[in-house]
Amino acid sequence: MNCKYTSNHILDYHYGELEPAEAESFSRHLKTCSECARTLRELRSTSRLIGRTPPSRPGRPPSFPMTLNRTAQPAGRFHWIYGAVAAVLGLLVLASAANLHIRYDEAGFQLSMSLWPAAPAAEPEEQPPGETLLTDDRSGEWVRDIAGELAGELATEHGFLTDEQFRRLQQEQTEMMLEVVEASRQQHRQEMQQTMGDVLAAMEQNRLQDLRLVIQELDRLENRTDRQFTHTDELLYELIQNIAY
Amino acid sequence: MDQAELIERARCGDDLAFARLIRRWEDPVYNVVHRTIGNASDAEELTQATFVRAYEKLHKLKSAENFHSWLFSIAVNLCRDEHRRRKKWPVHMMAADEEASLNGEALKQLQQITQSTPVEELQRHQLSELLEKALQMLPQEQREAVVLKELLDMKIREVAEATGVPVNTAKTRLYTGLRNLHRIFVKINLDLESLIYEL
Repeated sequence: MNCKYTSNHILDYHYGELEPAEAESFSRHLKTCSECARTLRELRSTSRLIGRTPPSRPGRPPSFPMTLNRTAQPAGRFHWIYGAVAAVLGLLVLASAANLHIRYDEAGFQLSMSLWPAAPAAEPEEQPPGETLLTDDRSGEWVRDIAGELAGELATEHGFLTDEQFRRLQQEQTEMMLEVVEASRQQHRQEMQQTMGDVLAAMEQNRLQDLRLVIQELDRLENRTDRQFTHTDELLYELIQNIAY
Repeated sequence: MDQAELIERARCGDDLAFARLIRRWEDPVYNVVHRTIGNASDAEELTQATFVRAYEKLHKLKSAENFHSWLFSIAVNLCRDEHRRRKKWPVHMMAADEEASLNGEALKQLQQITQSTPVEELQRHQLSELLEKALQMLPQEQREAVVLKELLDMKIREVAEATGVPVNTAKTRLYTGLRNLHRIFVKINLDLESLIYEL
């Protein structure tokens, strides 16, 4: 370049990073230096091409934070299944030990219990069919009652438990069943929280998608306006050049 | 909520705030990485890697004002690492003898595109592909400067920060990169003046 201005000046002018006084001075220089004017035109046209053809992004993957959150969360769905299975198994064990009968007829689910071992007097024809003790789920309360009753019956019928053993057995069985019920509740609560979280995340995604569409439309409008302005600038520039020469 | 507040919250462990920062910046980061690295699938991976590293190093960010320069310096460094790891520097990249490389194989490929389709009939995606190939012909440091400046409209000072060089070095790289690109376009008879009005 044969003039006093360097490539840095042209670059700063091109990007609007010159001080106003310098910019004005360089602008005047451009009218007399065809080499600087040509370089500036090249920079402008190249810049525009790059800025207006960004790479298109094929099929967006799920946003990164969702991945992060997922890895941070416990595997909730599996936990509640395990909890439910444990609860059912626990109930079956208790049912077999306590000679419980669970049946379903036109009246709905029925839970009945008879003494174990069955008394000889309790012949099928004498025993009231399906003697119903509990017909609905009263959770921890009946668990505690059943566990206590069972331990009591065992102790009094057979006399092989001391008072201490009886209390320990009663306590252990109560605690075991309460743990199962509590675990089931916890899993249910987690399930609900997770569902709510999913719904909120979906709503947020929708909102952002709408926002993105609006922004895209605005960008397109801005580009169109900018192009028109640029075209006008170029025409004016040529007009000024023609007038100058 | 403005960006400084989001950054402050993210620093305090608010993942939702960080998620919002990602949504704000994921497209610009992807665009820069894609143009720098030159292919879409690697660009997706490196974009995610950029945010993972940003998440891990957020406590080291000195000022919220510098967030985007800092974020893009991470992206640029990951792109450099990727190039080093693969040892796959583009063979058609401009060497010291730039005139020689301007007549190379890559240029012939570009010329085939422009010869087979008149410039005014080039679709936007063809133009984008052509630009991508042309950018890959630039040396890495020139490509970084051009992409950061043109796609993000960063200040030159911010480009220098993101690429870790003095401002004057960034200016030289940017100027040379733009001039080289223009020479490539001239070589393949891409009439930028008429093209600009088509876009």
